[in-house]
Amino acid sequence: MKMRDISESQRQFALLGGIFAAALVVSLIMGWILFPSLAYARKAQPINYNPPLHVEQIGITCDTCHFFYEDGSWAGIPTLETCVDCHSDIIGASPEEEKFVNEYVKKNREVKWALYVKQPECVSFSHSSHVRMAKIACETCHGPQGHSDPKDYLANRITNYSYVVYDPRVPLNAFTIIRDKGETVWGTMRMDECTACHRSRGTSTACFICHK
Amino acid sequence: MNVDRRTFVKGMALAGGGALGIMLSPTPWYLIRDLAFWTQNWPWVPAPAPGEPSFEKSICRICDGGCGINVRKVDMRLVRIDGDKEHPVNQGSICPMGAAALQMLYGPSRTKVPLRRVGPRENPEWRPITWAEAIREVALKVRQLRAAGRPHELACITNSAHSTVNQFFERFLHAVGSRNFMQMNSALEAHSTVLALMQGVDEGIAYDIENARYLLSFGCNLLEGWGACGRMYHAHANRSAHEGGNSLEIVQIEPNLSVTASKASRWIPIKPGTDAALALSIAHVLISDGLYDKTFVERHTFGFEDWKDSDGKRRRGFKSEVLGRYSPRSVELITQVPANVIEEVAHEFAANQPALALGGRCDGSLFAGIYELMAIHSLNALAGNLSRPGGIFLQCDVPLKSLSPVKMDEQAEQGFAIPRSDGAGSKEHPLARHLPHNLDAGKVGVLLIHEVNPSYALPNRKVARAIFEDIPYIVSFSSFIDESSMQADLILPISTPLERWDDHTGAPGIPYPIYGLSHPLVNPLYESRNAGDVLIEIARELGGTIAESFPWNNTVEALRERAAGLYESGTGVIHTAEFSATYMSQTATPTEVKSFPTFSDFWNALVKNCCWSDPQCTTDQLEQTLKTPGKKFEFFSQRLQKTFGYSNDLECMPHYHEPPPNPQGFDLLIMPENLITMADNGLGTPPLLIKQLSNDVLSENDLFVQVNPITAMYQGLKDGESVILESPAGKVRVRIHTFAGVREGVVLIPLGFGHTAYDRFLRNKGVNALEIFDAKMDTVSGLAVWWAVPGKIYKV
Ligand code: SF4
Repeated sequence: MKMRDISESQRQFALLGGIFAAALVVSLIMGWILFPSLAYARKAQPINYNPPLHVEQIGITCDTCHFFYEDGSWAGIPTLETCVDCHSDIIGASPEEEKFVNEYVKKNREVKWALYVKQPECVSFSHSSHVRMAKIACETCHGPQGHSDPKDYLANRITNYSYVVYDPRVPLNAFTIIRDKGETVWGTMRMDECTACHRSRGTSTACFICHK
Repeated sequence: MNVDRRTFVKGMALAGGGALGIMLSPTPWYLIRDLAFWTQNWPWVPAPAPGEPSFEKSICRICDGGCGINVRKVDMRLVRIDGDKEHPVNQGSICPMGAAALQMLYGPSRTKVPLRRVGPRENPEWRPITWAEAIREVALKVRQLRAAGRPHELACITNSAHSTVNQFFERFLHAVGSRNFMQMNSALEAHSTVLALMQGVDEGIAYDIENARYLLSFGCNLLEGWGACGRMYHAHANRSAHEGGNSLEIVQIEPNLSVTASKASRWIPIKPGTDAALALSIAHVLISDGLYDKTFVERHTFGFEDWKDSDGKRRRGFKSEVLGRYSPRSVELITQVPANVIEEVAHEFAANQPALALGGRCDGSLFAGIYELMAIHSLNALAGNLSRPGGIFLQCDVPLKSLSPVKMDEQAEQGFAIPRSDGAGSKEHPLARHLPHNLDAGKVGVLLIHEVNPSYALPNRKVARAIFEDIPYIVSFSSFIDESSMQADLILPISTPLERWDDHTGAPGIPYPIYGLSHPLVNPLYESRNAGDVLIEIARELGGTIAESFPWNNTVEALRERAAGLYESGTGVIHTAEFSATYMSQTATPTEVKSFPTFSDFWNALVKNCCWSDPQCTTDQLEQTLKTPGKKFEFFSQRLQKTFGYSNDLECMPHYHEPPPNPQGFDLLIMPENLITMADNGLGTPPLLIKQLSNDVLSENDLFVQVNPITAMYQGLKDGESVILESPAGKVRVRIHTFAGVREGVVLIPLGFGHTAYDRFLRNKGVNALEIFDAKMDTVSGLAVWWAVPGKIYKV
């Protein structure tokens, strides 16, 4: 009777352990694979803009289109007006170019570019102080944009923020976003990334530096 | 379902395993981060749109101050207004109204399309119509008046600005055949009457405040809207750095502790309405102690000493009058200002020359009668402060080219011969120019209202009501849905000053000529148009001589034509400014008009910099400021005697007369209060400023009046209590706020509340104080007198 009791409780214990382990494994899979992959949607830019073509072949630099206004404020994503400076007519034979000129330039419609990087309103981020004063290169935060040609990007379904890789050897998926953000995957910087960089450069990380 | 222990434990194992697994995965941490990002990018939280920043200059046209402004733009959106440091009026200062003006431009109370009323005025419905229909309709109404032989029944009430568009309205009325062009009375209008009577000039008064050392302010709310508010701010902020290292002392003579009083060097609480007695008592001390400018008085004044008229009859002079009746001791009994204070102030006034005596309470428009302002102005003459630095000047004419003469046909000539319907210039009011508060509504068939709100702001409430009850057809040219528009028959949406071409001549109280020109900084919102352009089109629709009187295609053509006068005069300067690359500063150099090679260069610089001025051109010669027949300053106004035939000499001289006793039961005195953050002239107040009001001015929709705690105690009232405030003219429901800075027996009610139109931020907040002020007409000037009214206050 006693023996049977012990084995009964051991069985019970094993069963509970099994349930626990199974739940752990399932939730680990969900937490590491299922949810992350559900959290991102794969999308393409409205026009498959080709950075290497612009930068490497034509030889223009980032600040040709992403420039500072006279007062030092940042123009950001160029508006159609900037593109039209060169693309008033179709240049070359690419179908994307044709689409761009016909659908956007001729109809005077702004392209709704997916934003890879945009700090929220609560952050007062100045391109001027980073680029002009601290002399940080565009690539430091934005990655080697001008040198590869990403076909698609992942957009977070909650934030709408988008992520992109420029290295063709790196797969773009939720896992690489989690693992490689800031190295091979590029997207909006989080506060811990901002502060890490500030610390490493000996710049203040006081709240009011960014949150005015 | 029964949950036994085993099942429960199994459930816990499942939950525990699941929770641990999830916690060991990145999911919850990323979820928290993403939710945080999400909350910062909610699409419904307004965020400024990105775009190219730039700055443009303009002129603020919220009031007649004519301050210069710098407007920051991001692409085509105006985002911020600052004072223009180079502008001669305000030199960078700006009042809250001007700073918040963009909220009116982009606010919800704009008129958007022409609207025609259907249904009765009390309960109107509005039907959108096209501009073409609207113009045809106005033209038709005017044509009908003319066809009926009543062109003089066309009338117009417009703002007090000296602008080309207002000249257009006057012109239109002339061409149709009516004299009934009325401007709302400006704050310094009464002073013009004083100058006409004592100095024989028609120009407006100007004060060289920037060079004065001492300001004796008789109730002028210098920091709450008196004169050009931006200018007063600047003068006050720089009071310790006036020319020649002098500092400016302000002595505020006022019953209540206003903002100006609290910031003055000295506050002299005076019994309400006795300012004239105090001014004359100061004159008494100046004369009896020999502190006045004897040379000036002897050479350039008339009526100081006793004199003999042409019949050889002996007449009492100002000196005898003042010495006889206004000794500090007897005036102490009238004003409740101690005799020694009167003496002290008089001595300070004499010692701190150049000193100015300023009159006109609140924003300058309130006064107890023309004699009060004459008494105050006498002090300037005693100090010999006419046409001297730091003294009194005249507003100079801007050398604009006049518009070509109006063409009138026979009908127009006939109509034009008929006298005005507001009595201005008539036998009763020979000195008045515009008396909209005296308009006989029964004599008007078609009324054009332009950028004013008489329904709310006319001090004579009976006339205000009669206008909207009796006039058959009313057109409102307005940028906003105000009370007057709500009762009109046709609403024409007018572009706001930042969307249109406009100009402005002279700033109130500035001693040299200034011309402000503003151009559209953004395309007009909605279907709004420039009132000048609309008038041109109506004139064209009417044809004949009316159309010929408007030979321009649009307003800017006329502005350009007029500005040619400035160029041809070859005088004055334009402050041509360049903004630095960071827009943090601008450098301006005064460029002489002479140095522009062509008119076109001049015009372009004027458009860009918005302001022409001629600081060299002041009326610094006494011949310019004294134009009475004897070329003297008249303590005894011969014009007053001639015009009105007064037999009593006193009526031609500054004097104090006791007001009639209060009617039975009304033992308090209600006085209006100007708030710097509220538009009190019927224009709208931007929401930002309403939010600045403290809880003891406006709480929810309740307006607070201020009373002294002792007054409240006598009336058995507690702070915050709801009360009825009643005057012989009407009653309103308010709450009381006790404040020891209010004189005992006085109830101070703020102006600018109680709107029934505009947007939800302004509508139904408090009461319109004008409803209880029973405006009287000044016997001499015809202007509305409503500085106070007898009242009583009791619990609801
Ligand atoms: S004082 Fe008048 S003109 Fe000057 S900023 Fe204020 S509202 Fe505008």
